[in-house]
Amino acid sequence: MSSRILILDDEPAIARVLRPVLEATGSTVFTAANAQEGLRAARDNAVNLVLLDLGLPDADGKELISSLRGFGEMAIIVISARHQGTEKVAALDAGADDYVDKPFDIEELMARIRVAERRVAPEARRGGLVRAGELTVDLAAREVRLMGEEIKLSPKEYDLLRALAEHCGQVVTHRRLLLAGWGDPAADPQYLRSYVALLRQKLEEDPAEPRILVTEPGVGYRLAG
Amino acid sequence: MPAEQVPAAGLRGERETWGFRTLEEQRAPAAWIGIAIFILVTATAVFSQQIGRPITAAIVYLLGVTIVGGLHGMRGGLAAALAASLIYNFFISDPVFRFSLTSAEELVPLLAFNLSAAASAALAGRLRERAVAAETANRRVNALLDVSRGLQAAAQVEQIPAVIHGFVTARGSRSSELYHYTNGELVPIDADRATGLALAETLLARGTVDLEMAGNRAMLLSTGAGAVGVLILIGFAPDMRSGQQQDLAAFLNLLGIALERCLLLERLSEAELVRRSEMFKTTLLSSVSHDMRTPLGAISASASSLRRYGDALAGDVRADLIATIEEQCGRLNRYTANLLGLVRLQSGVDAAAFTECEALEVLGAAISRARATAGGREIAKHYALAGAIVRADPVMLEQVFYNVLENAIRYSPADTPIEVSTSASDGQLRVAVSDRGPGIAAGDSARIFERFYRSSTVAHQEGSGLGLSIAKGFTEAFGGTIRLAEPGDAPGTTVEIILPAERME
Repeated sequence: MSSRILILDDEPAIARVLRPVLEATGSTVFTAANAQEGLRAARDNAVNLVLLDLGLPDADGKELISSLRGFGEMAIIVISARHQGTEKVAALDAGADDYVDKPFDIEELMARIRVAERRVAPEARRGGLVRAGELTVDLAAREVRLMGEEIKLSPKEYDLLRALAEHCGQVVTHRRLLLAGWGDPAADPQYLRSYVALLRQKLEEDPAEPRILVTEPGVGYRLAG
Repeated sequence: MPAEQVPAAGLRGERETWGFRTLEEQRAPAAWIGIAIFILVTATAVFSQQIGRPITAAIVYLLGVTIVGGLHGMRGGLAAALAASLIYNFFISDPVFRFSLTSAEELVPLLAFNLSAAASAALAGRLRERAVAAETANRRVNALLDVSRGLQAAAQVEQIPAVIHGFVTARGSRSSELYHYTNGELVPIDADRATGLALAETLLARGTVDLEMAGNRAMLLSTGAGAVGVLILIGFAPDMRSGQQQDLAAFLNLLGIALERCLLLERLSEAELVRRSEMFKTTLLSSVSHDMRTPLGAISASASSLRRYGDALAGDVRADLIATIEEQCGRLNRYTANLLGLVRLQSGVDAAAFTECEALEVLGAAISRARATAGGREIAKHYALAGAIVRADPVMLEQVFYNVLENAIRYSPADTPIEVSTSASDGQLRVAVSDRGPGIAAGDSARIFERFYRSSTVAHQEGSGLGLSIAKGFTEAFGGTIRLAEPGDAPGTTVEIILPAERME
């Protein structure tokens, strides 16, 4: 793939380590150490993926995300050293695609980058087949299969699974799932918990320790991609 | 403040009064009751005399006088006796309508009646007054005992004003103000109620113990060690009855002692706080220097070995060094997470930010995370519940479960299973994590949840002594408890996390 990736982090060590690894996979890498530089670099270089550190010295992460979004279709992965659920949720609700905690494993980061790139690639926009382990979701045919066998889902269960499958491999916040399932991001989270439990009964080998529909405590759910 | 500023007209010097409404005033029945009884017995006596029963007449009259004496005290009783003698002589005893005595036979019963009336009135009156006095004294002692109990229970100076308020207002003052005297300075205990500060300062400046002006009264509180404070009675009524000085003196003594004790306690706890905070800093620094530097040392040694000798090392050695770097990074990361948790606890956890969490879902996430780093350790689940909603911070709750799991995994043999069970008990969620390690020595069981404490059986192993203390701190922030379960027959350790649940199924 020929991604154009911007590393927006005021910590030079991160860019120093990531640049060669990302370039080795064929990406073009740009770096910026503050928000002002970063916005300019994102605009001028038509980047399609930003690795964004929320702790920049000169900007609020949320505002930066909406500014970046204004430059066109791009994936934004937040890299945060602050393990506060609320901050991650705010960044995701502001439009970030995913987040990775510092310190991170390079394999995990590369996997998240691949997922994010796939999502913004034009061919993946509508429909298609989503695979998550043994699970396949055919978005065009509204068909769900587990190890090849078709699984019957209620319409609400399917709506939730589709919202997760459209972002397969990425975390989806409670708000977004409530919006997808009930049309109201402020709906009672108890509905969401109940339907997630129902989905796990149908999809997971061990619903008490899910591998497909995993919990991100305090943030949301992720369909393991 | 200089004494000249005090209005001279208000100065009346030291007074000996102490407002106190006596029981006599409160309880004496109205005079008309005595008069009514007197009229009633007079009518009965006259009637008895007319139907020819002179002895009954005299006895009824005596009874009446005794009752009046009992009701109204000696003065009332003697007045009734005098009136009864006059009426008896004039209207009842022969000859009627005349104060005259014709013979000694008439004189003796008359004299006997008069003396009996006077004596019974006097006796009944005295009895009534003694009873009243005893009751009053009893009430005064009880009031002093009550206030004394309250003062003894007070541990902080701020609690004292509420304790003495009732005592002071029951004795005619509108309210009171209390000042403590420390290092030559008068400090109001309640900064919003310090209108009498000038008066209190005047009292101290004059070196007197009791000063009244403009309807307020200031009194020095002192103990064997000297002046400890000043009590100001606001709206003190100077025309109250005198005679309660003893109560006041006793009260002031108690108040002085209580004030001194509270101030002393305050100073002690401040010193204790400083000592503990110093101890905490020292322990924290030694923990940081050890638990940060040990993994850093391993990382640094591995990285520099790879750089310097990488080419000369065998492939498996190189892989081992790289694995060490990764492992130690993980250790550093867990340690900083716990340090951050410690800071969170130190600065106070905001319960308003807690949300409803599905605790078993969070437990599942913690088990997955523990499994990922536990190298194939068996973690068996025994759930008696399908779901449990608790109020908590989900990220902190995950750390509670993870820390307990990590502790169990680290301190038990690699070939033994970890068991996680959930159950409901008394509307609470109980999560128990058991291992088959060496168990906790009896002497350590009380301390394993303490910060930086490491059990003697694991002192040789890595670990910071933070994990369980963070788990305990967070669990308690959620209103729950964490403890070691009673050791059963099986060897090992079981840690129980009990959380109040909003719903369980």
